Amino acid sequence: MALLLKNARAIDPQVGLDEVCDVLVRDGRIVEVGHDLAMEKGETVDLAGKVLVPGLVDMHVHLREPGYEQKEDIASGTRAAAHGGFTAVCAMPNTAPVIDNAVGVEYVKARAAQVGKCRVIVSGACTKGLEGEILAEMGDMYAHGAKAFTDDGHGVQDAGMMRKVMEYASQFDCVVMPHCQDDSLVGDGQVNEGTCSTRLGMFGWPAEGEELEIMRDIALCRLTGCPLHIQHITTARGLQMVREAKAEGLPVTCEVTPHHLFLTEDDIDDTYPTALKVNPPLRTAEDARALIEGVADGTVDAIVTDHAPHTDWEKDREFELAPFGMIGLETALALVLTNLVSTGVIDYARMVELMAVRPRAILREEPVQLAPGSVADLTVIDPDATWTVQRADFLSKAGNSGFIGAELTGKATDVYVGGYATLTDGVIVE
Amino acid sequence: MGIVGDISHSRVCGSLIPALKIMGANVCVIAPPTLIPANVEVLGADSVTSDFDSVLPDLDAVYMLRVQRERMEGAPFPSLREYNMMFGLTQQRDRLMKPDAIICHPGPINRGVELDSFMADHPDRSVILDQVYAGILVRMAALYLLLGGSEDGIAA
Repeated sequence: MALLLKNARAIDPQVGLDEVCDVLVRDGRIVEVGHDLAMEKGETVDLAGKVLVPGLVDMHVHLREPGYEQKEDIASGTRAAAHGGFTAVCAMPNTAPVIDNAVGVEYVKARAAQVGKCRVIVSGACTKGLEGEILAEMGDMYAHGAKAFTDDGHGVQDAGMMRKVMEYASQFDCVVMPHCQDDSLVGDGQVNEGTCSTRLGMFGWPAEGEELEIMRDIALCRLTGCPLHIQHITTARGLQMVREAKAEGLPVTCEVTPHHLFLTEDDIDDTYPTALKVNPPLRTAEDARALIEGVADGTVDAIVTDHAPHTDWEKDREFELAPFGMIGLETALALVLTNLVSTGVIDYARMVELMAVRPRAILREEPVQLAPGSVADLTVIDPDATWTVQRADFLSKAGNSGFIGAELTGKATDVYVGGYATLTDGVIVE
Repeated sequence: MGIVGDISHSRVCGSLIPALKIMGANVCVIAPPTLIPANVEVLGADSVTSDFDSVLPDLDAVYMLRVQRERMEGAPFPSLREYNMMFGLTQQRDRLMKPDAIICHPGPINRGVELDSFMADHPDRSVILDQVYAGILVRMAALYLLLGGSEDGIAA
């Protein structure tokens, strides 16, 4: 099947492209990028006024299946992803059962193939049951298609165990992605330790609880040579450590979430909004400024959502009892466009690096470029669409967003995966 | 010559690699990274890898080391199953080997872990029982010399 996308402003820093042109797709791959393209038979779409970029990838998503389908499942989570403009997501392994063996990897792949509205890249656990004691069968999982390993949600507490994880994983071409949290410091911490925890009268989750593990894991990266990707970094000092590790030449990368960029501990007011209870917690305004600086200067490799759906009844409880996490798939792109691109902090090309190019590279996925031969995973953005974030508009099963009511500019209107439309004019293609 | 297995804790390796080098062999050590010691070049091997299948077709001799069946908690690999899949000399790997490549092992063997029975008892490839017999003769000679023997021992 042929598809001709006409008159969009096509942007891809990988090939130095930023101009209004046409893209011709045949059999799932781009065959031509140029001006005044035509074809004999097929579908033509006029994208005048739109922006066309390589398909966006969210490399940190909780699809919750198997085990927590009341919160989200692979069908609803990938629909939310397509709705938000993504062509691929990387699913975290902290499901029930945990994805710590090849059977789990194959299950997620099979469900995604059956009901998915975007590609699902599978990550496996580092340790059996995320318990931090026995290595998971990473070799078998890798052979079955797992692209990265993480004990997301817990972190590997024991340094010796983490060394073993990274040493063992270093024989595969993949990253280990730590969730940096030292339980002995974090304890029952609910919000950032400091002004916020004292103001609200809640246990603090100190910055050092994250920074110590970042420091530790960078040291273990130096020792083992295993590529390291720090998940959802939140503090200025943590980011500085990554900056220095990169300068040293270590294979270290990192990601940030929109909520850690655009919300701070000051937003958690005395209504105790549980949607803002996330792990790691929202930090200070100073930290958020430092993260934005890192996004602009290249220290941050990827913007991810850490999409963490929960049911209403789980979140509508006392702050201490509510689970950590917020959803993000359907707001991430617009938040980045509104707060970073429109304001001139970064340009579209940098946005593409953060949300498409680097995530694929870190996950060792085939690059997607706006160039002949590339897989036609494409995202079309209406840069001028203004909209208000509303719970009712989410395709995710969950509504625990910290951005409900936000007025945003920019939205994905069309998404193509392998040349097939998954989203057209903002509506999922069934 | 490839030496496969627990390089970190192997006494065999400590003498085998220097001996092989004296005999002019090119030695490759093969193991998961968790079983390769720091600064492995100190041992004198010519190359190191964790990708068994990539080097197996080049080997004239494959020297399999015994895997300690230790407690799995804190073990350097996830399971004996995964070890066998990645570093065991299985029947499936037979087709990757040179037609005349031989198999050595210091014994005793963990069948189904580092060696499948097919390979351990392979009529053309396995020289493990020859190693055992040679070991007896070498020990006899060493004991004879240590106990004061000075002739070649045959006349006595």
